Amino acid sequence: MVSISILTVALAAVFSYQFTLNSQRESSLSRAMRTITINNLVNLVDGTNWDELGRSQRPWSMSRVRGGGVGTLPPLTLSDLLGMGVISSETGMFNGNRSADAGLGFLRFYVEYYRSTSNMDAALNPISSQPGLMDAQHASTVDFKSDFTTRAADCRIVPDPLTGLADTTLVTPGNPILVRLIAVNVDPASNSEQVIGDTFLGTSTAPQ
Amino acid sequence: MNSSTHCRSGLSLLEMMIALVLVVILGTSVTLALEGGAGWSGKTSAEDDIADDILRVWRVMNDDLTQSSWWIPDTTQTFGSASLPTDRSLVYAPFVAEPAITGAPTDGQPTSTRMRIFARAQAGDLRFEGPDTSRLNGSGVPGGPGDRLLAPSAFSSTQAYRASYFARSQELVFVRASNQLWNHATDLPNPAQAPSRIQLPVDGYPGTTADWQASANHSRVGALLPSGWQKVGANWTPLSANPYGRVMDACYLYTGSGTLDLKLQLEGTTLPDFQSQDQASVRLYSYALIPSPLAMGVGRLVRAYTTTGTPPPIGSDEGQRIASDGVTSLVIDRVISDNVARVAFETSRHANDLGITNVRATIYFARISEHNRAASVVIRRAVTMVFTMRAANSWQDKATARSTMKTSTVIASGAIPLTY
Repeated sequence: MVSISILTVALAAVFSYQFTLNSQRESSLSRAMRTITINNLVNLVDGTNWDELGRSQRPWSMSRVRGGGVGTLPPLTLSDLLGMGVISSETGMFNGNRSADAGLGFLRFYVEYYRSTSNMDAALNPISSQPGLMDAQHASTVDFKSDFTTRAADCRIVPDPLTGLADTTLVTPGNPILVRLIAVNVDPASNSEQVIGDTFLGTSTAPQ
Repeated sequence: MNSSTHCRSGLSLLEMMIALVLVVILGTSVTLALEGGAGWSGKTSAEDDIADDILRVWRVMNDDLTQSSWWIPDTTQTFGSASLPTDRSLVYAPFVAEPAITGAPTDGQPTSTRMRIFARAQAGDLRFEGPDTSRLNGSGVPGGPGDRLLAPSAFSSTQAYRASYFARSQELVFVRASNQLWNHATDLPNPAQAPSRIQLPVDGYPGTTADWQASANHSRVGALLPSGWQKVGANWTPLSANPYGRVMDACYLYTGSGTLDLKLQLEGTTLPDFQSQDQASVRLYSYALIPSPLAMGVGRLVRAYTTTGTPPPIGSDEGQRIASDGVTSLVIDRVISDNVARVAFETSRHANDLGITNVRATIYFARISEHNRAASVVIRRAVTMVFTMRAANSWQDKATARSTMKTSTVIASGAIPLTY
C-alpha cells in the first residue's frame, strides 16, 4: 500500500507538472497574437481622417451604447474584430479548440471617442472632458460623414458619467475627435478587467 | 526448533509479482513521461519559433510599410475600373502580384516591362512551388497540394481559398521613402547672395520657377533655409549673424507646373538629389516566398529589391538574386522567416474595410517538430497583420490616391478579390 501510494503521488506530480507547463506555454504564442491584434487596431485607427469614417467596418462605426461611461462600455466583440479585418476566422484562429491558442479569449478592446476642444489637455483627461461614444443609431448608418452633417444632433458626445450632465456641444466641424483604444485582460473567474494598453490614437478631423 | 517461529529470509511469489508489476508500471510511466517531455519540448520549441517569427515579420513589414506610400508614376492611366488584364499591365505600388507556379494560371502576374520581374516567369528564376506536401499534407493543415494549381475563382468558396495553406502565394511590391540627403557636394551655399531665392520653396515664395531653374540657384538648392531667414517688410533678414540652413531630405523640388512644391522623394537605385527619381530608377521592394534551404524549413519569406547591372548569382541567401529579366535583378536583402507556407496581401483595391493607406497581410506560419516519435507535429498559425503607409499620409495625399486608385467600388469585387 505504501508503495502504491508513493507511486500514485509520483505519477500525479509528473502529470500535473506537464499539465502546468502546457498551460503556461499557451501564453507565449498568445502574447504574440495579442501584440499583433493590438497593433492591427492601432494601424487601422491612428492617423485616419474623418473622410475615412464612412465605413461600417471601421472602429468608429462599431455599435455603442448611448450614455455609457468609462468602464461600462461594451467591448468590441470578436465579430467586430472579424468585421474590421483585424483578425480572420477563415484562417483557423477561432476554430473550435484553437480559440485559446489565439490568445484573444480573455482580451477585450474598447474604443472611446473624445470631443476635442482647443484645450487638448482637457480632451486627454477623461474626468475633465466628456468621454463617450457615438450612439447605436448613428453607428448603424453606413455613411458616417454625410450622416454627421445631416443628423448632427445624434452625433453629440454622451453625458458625463461623473456629473450626469449632458454635453450639448456638438463636435465642431473642423475640430478633431480623439479616439482612444483600451485593451484589457479579463479574469475569467471574476470577470474583472485589468488594463494592459491604453492609447490615444490621435485625432480624426471632423468635416468642414 | 519450532517451525512457527522460523524467520523467513525471502519474499513470497505473490510479493515478488506485486513488486514486479509495480516496477513495470513505474518504468512505463517514467518512459512515457520522458517521451512526453521530449515531445512537449519539441512542440513548445516550435511554438516559440512561430511566436518569434510572428513578431519578426510584423516588425519588418511595419517598419517598411510605415515608410511607404502609393506610387502612381502615370496618373493618366485608368485604375479604378481597370479590368484584370489592364490592371496587370499597369505600373504602381503597392502592387499585389502572384508569381509563376509551374502549371498554374498566369492571371495574377504583372505584364509591364517595369513590373514583369515579379512574375518570375523567366527560365532560371527561383520559384516557390508550394510547401513540402510530404510533411504538411495529412497533418491537419487546411487545404491540399492541388490548391496551388487553382485560380482563386476555382475554389469552392472564399473561405476555402483563404484557409488553405497550399493555395498560391502572393508578393507585395512596394516603394520606400528616401531617408538619404540630397547630394550637395558641389553646392555653394551662400544664402546672403539671394536669400529670397533659397528659402523653403513653399508658401510665400516670391520667385518663379525660372528663378529656381537658373543654374546659379540650382547649385544652392541643397541648403534650404526653412527658419534661418524672416521677411521684414519687403526685405529678407537673417535671424542671426550666421544664418543657419538645413539640408532637406526625403523630398524633391517640384517645378513642373510653374508652382514650386516639395514632394515625397522615393528610394532609388541612384543617389537622390533635388529632382524626382524617374520611374526606371525607383527601387521596388518585394516580400517574396522562396524555397527554404533548411531541412525543416517550409518556405522562406524574404525581402528583396530591384537592382540593375550584372546580376548576382541565383540563390536563397542575402545578396543573391531570385529573378532577373536581363535588365533588372531581384536581389534578397533580408531573410525574414523559414516557417512560412503561404502569404497573401490586400490593399484598399481589394477590400472595402481597409483605408486607402492600409495594407493587410495574412501569413500562414507552419513549423515542423519531429520530437514526437510517432509522427512529426506541425504547429501552424495563420496571422492577419494590418499596416499603414505613412510616408504620404496627409488628407490631400490620401484624397489623391483614393481618387486615382479606386472609384466608388473596389475593383475585382467578385467572390474572391485577392488576385489583384
